[in-house]
Amino acid sequence: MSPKRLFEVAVLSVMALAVSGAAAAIIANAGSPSQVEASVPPVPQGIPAAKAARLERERQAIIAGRATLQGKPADPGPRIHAAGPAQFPSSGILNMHQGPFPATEFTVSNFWQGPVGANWLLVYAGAVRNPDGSVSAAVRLYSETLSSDGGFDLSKLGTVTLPKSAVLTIENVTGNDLTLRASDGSSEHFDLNAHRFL
Amino acid sequence: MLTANSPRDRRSTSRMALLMVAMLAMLAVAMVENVRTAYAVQAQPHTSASYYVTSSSTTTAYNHGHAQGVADSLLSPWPNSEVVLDFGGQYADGSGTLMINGARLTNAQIEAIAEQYSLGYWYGTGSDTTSEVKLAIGTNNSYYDVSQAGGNTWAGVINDVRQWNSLNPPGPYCCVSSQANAIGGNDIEPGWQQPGPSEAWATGFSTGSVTTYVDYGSADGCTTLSSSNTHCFWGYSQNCGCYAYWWASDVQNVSWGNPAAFPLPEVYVCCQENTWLNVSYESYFQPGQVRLYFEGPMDENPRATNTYTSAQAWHNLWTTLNSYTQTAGDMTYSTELQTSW
Repeated sequence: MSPKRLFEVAVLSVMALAVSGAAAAIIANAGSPSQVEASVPPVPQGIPAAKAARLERERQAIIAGRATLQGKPADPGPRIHAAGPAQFPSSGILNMHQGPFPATEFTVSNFWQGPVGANWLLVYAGAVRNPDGSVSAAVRLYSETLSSDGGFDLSKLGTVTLPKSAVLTIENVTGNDLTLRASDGSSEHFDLNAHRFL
Repeated sequence: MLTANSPRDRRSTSRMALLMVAMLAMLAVAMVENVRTAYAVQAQPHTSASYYVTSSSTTTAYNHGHAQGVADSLLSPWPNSEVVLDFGGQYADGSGTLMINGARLTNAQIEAIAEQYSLGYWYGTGSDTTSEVKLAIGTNNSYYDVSQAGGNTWAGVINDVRQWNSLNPPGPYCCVSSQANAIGGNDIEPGWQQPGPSEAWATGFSTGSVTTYVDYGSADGCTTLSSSNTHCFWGYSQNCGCYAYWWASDVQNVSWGNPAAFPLPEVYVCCQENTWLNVSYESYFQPGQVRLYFEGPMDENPRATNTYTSAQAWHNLWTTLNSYTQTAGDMTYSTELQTSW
């Protein structure tokens, strides 16, 4: 075989290898049914049949999603918030018992939010639950600021307690004066600006 | 003839003594039959970021999903994550939720947030096409619609998100559902509500959706195992009491007994792991039931640094559960609540 012919054969061989490699890569990317099936972990053994059936349905939904996937577009990266800033909700008292903490750590009887100076303040009124099972009258304070992506950032300011075993409920707000009723019947006042009971 | 002090007799006496020691050891093991002794702690998987949702911003949702996707794609091997988005308590009219910061979301907004989180995750994983996020769309049992209708409404929300994920992005790149598995979630805490409404919610969810939900709540006050290791009478003994009229059987029902339920418990502080051990232990002895299969622990260390870290939550829950043969088993996920959405 002439050197020229040898060169042509070598070039053609390299091209054939490149083409077959690319084809293999495409096939691998799409994934054969068995490859797709194997890419999703099986349902654990020992789980009751009714629960296992639900997990298997979820698993099959993922497999179905992967079976048709022809690759993914380039990642466009994080989004930049285009709309205007978020709006704080209306200021006022809400009959709400939840908070960003467990119910057994702090029991919420109700809630107030609104502007205090330049800040947006959230006040959860109720009681701290002590390890011995007793409760201490208290309010838990958070501030909320607008985030750059159109949401809110919530920051805990602290918990202010009263030396009494009772649960507090917000009754009224006048200026910076928060009026609360304790479960023992007494009336309490909390300074929203100074973050202390009066 | 053998004499009392012959070498053979001494060997025989020694063998008898050894036999007695062995029998005593076996007896001791039998007395503590349920306690496991030697084991290696299962390695903790990576910890994902969960959130209390506090705004309707879909940009925020997309970016959090994207960040989790990028984080997962950088790990080797590519992992699976479980993420909870807590949307707060449901309104009585089934229209949406009241978030923990007192702002309102409609069901359509909840769905849009979950869908954009899923899409962000899908894009963020880039060339990684096998990581999966199990996205728990969560409510709680603190507000008004803790009922069968509320569970059914929530199931509808999950079904809508799953449908959207299975159709988007349209075209050859479909689908987000290849890597995002939307399921339900509920922060069920005995401190908020008596058990009946929460159990009705669980029934409503399981009849409205073919998927699962995670109970990422607590087993407050569920009595820890007694030193005698005797299991109590299901639901009728003080040994099985929990907080506020809940029995261990009620906690078991909403976290495992319901066919859709799986536990992803709060393990914030000592000794929440023990309360869950008791629930799982009691479950083992009930007809037709088995121990609880825990998805993994949820901690809140970024929000409260005096609470368990994710490593402590994992270690303490796993070692506690694996102290008993009846409750022993591995877990799949680790997640922790972040400071803000």
